[in-house]
Amino acid sequence: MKPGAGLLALLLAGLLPGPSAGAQTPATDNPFAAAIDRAGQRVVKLHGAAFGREPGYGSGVLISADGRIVTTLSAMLAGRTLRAVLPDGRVLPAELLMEDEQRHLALLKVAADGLPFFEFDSSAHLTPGDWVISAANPFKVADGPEPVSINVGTFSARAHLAAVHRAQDFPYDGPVLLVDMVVSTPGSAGGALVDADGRLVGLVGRAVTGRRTGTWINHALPVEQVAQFVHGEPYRSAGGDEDATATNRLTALGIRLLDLGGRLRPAYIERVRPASPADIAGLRANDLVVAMNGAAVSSCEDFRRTLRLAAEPDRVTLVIKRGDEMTVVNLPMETSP
Amino acid sequence: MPTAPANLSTTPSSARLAVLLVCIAAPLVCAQDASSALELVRADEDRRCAAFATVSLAVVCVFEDQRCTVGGAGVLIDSAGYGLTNFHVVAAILDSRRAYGGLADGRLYPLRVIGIDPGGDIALFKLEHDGPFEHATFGDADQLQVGQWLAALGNPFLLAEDFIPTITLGVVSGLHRYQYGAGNLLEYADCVQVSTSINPGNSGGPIVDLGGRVVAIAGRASFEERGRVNVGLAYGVPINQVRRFLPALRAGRMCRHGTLGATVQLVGQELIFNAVQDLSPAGRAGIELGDVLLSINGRPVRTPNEFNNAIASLPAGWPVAVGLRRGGRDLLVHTRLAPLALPNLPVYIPTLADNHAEIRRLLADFAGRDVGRAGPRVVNITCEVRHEGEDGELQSSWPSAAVAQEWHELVTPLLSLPELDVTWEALGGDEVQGCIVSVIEQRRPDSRRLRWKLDFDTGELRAVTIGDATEPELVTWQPEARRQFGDLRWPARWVRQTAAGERLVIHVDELVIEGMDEPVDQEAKP
Amino acid sequence: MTVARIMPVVCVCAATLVSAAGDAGAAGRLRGAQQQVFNAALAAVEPVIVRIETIGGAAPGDTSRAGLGDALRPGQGPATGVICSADGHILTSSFGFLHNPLVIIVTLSDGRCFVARLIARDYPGRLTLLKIDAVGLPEPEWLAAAQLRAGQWALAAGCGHASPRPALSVGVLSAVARLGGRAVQTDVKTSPANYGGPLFDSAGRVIGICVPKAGQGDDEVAGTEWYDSGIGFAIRHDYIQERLPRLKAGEDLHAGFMGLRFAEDWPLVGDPAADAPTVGVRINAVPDGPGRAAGLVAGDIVTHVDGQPIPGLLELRRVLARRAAGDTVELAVRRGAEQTRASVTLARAAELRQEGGPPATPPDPDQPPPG
Repeated sequence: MKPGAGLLALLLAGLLPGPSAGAQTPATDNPFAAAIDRAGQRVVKLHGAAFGREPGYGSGVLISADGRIVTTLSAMLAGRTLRAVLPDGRVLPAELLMEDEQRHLALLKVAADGLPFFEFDSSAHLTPGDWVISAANPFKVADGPEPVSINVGTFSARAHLAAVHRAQDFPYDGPVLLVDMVVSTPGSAGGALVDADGRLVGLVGRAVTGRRTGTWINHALPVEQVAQFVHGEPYRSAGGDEDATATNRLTALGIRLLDLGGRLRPAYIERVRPASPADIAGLRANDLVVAMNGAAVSSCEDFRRTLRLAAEPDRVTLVIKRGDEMTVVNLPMETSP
Repeated sequence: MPTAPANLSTTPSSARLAVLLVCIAAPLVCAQDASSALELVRADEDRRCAAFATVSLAVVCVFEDQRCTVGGAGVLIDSAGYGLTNFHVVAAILDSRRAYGGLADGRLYPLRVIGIDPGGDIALFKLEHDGPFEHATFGDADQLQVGQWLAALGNPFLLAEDFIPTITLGVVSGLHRYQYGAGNLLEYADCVQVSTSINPGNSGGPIVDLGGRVVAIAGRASFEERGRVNVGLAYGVPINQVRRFLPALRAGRMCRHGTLGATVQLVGQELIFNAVQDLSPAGRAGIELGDVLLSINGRPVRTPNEFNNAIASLPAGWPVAVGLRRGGRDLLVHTRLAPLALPNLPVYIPTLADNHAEIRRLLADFAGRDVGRAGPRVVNITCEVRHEGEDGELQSSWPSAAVAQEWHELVTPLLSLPELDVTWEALGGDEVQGCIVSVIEQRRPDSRRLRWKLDFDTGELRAVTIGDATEPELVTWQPEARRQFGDLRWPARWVRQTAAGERLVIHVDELVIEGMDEPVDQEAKP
Repeated sequence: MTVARIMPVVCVCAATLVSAAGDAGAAGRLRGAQQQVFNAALAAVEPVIVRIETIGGAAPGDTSRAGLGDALRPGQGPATGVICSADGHILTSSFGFLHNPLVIIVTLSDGRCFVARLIARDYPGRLTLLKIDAVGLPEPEWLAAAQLRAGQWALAAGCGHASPRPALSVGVLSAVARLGGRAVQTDVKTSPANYGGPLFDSAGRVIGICVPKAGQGDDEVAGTEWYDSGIGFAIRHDYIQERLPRLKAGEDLHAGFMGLRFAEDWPLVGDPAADAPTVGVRINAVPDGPGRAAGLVAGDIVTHVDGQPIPGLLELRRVLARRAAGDTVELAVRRGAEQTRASVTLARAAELRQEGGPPATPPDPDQPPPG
């Protein structure tokens, strides 16, 4: 056979319609099939005892072939009737191995092997507008071997969580992935958030109310936090040696606040050190700081916290009230020695 | 004897061709530049918007009152103005059966409820105005895949001030779901779970694929602490289920769903029959306690939910094939479902006018002629009755006046468009050879019952039966081999299987109907 | 087997695989293109999105008002706004200003911080206009109303979560004309996180400003119970352009009413008994108010308002939605066999209520939803 005949055969075959052409639904109308298939095989349904207002069901993700499962903390994990339903329908008792109060996560174990599981990849590649898919069991719609429920939305933003859960401050204040579909439904927490390729990017978070918006926050814990939890690394709040940082920066700027203690003290400046960056920028005693770097400052504690968290330690923008006038002051800051 | 190993260097042009072809294929995976990405997205958007614009013309804003303060949605399914909605959208007006429908042209039309399916939360209505109306086409809910894009069209919170429906986008979240009935909420079996935003006012509206074909009717949603506001879970009645009830709905009836009269329980990984009522379809079919349930009508069943889903989506009287395992042997038993008892079923008498309108529509479809006037026409059919063996061989050819007479009685109404009186009734739907059929019955003065079963989609005649009150379908004639008789396409062969296992075959040679301009073609005998 | 012999087999196999993957490839390409386009659209709009912080006034969460019911109380986080002209005018949703703050701070996308003044409010549109002392600001690229199509991609972005970049939400346009024709409806997730922010298309062109709801009623938090539910609204660009000149001049705009009663039933097609006129709207009653002052009587049929033909009640509502209390509208009226004119000065709802009973207006777009 001549090589030319092979080329001809290839070209002719390429002109023929593909195997699924002519099907009712174009493939572009169902672009997430592979990712959904992957996710569905790696998400489990959890059942346990109901406590108070908490439903006795939830979701979890498989992270090892021998049956380790990550889910969010909830009261039912402590009960003896905790069980996991695998994708193939097998119901197995689940044992609680480890908890993380801060991240609000738990690690469970069932006796199994050869199970498909999620690798810990990363969520760093997500940009706003990327498709994300949740696989979880809200309202325990799926029973036994029935597939879990799928929702599709887009990645909204990275943010730090500031939330309450039933009138109490929610302990996790770290980075979360905000998504634009509703995942704050009963039973969704602990489910998988995957990207359009089926890679795990996050764990659907507890249904909490955001302090900033007053609304239920649809979010997932980034897979990096899940990985750190599983590897035994404790969560360090954005705190730490916070006060030292704030104090150092205040000194560097040359500002002393009139701070007699208490949370509600407005951030009046008591003294400005001569020839300091604050002095050069024109700050004076009795100025009231009302905003820093775009964030409202309503108290000395606000001032210290915002200063500590400032992402650009070498520039601070203050809005101050002096008498009846409002002014914006930009301060360069020397790097601390 | 082994050949010398291939030496690639002796065919350099082949290797280079292969490399070249790979390079041509490579762009499949290359990233696109921004403007071509926008073009691709826009083209897909255009296609979707065009499909939605078309189906929006068929969506109805259904209202209980002329002030348009209470209501839901619906969708027109034919140009005469018949449409589907949820039963619960029209439940409050069943006394009068009158309501109102706003269309995308901004006008409000009077509307009348024709048939209802309370068990499936579906109702059929008709706009009381001359058409033709824009209408939607059906998709195939059995082809849906989880994650597939869908849109819902309806009137959430009655925000459509101009009656142009609200469109929301989402995906299939789950298939063959089961939702318990509770209080005012009706049970939804075998339903489609969707993530499109569905709120009060969407009920009865269509859920469509990106081609604008209706795959489900929106009806329920899961609500929680926030109250009756969508949180991403909603449920629709699959259109494939609705289709099975459409013949009865069009006949103006109240539909009943079916029951097998038995329950199953999961024991380990097997589904076992743990209760069988004696005089139920299951009992009569010989299903026994302890039998393992494998399938219903060819559909594998693994859980009690799936069993509920398989049965509850079928009408009463529907034929089912139940796959069982008993003592290591696999069996298949056939039976027909009994009506499922529901609490609080409304009293609903079909109107004769609606029922007969449906008979006329079905027969007109089949006769292939406009039904301007009812009344008999002279029909002259020449035929031969044959007695055939299994392989079609003619065993004897004998004119049997009785058989010919019986057959004439059955087919004449199909051509002569009879006067309809109370002895005629459209019974509803059935399944013949896997096809949904509409059933028309005539009760003769001699207490015989004649039934005609016409394919609901194509209008073709699937079967004709004769029986009596006890056994309505004793004898079945199967039409075959459609041929052209003038401008009429009609079966040329009719087959009846006798109890003794013999086949009686009638061949139609000639067909003359008064009023046709030309004599019909002669058909050669096979 | 020589290479020459197996090549054709390999070619055919490869071609089959390529064309089978072609379908899956097309789906992946579209998916990837969509992600790319959404991201680019956000980047295109980001320069006109501003973050708004407020200080003082009633404390957040303390908007004490009877009967808030399901409606949301504003949280503690920032609000969102959109630059609408290069000279520093910024539009936002009135939802963030219910507590009449003392200090308003605006942060631009480039990080610059300004103190803002509240210039005026459009009450029925639920919009608030701010001004900062800046020049040469980027302006939005607006999308003309004629190009809006239900089903097209719609994106919203907001600063309410205090994320480094505005948080994006993607959905579709649900309807092109809602709430008296003032707004588009969208199933994008709108909430306090993005009220006041832009609704834009896949090319980054701004369709409108997200608000909880709009309408003639006084309830400023109406619609907030629908946050993140797939029921969202954005005040349309054409409505905004009509209102902006008056708002910039410092004029607060209130809904204007004629004080007339019309039939509440919709005319029914094919109903011979209906006494609804084929064109125009019949006035059923004229209580004491602007309508009576203009000389209108029961039985008059309004056929035109300010030269615009009025086929029915819906169009009357939509035309009046673009006017404000204090405006004078010119009506063309058919009285019996005669044509006549009337000049009606629109009044505020509160002024009409003095006669007792609710305002005699066309059916309110914010009617409560059915049970």
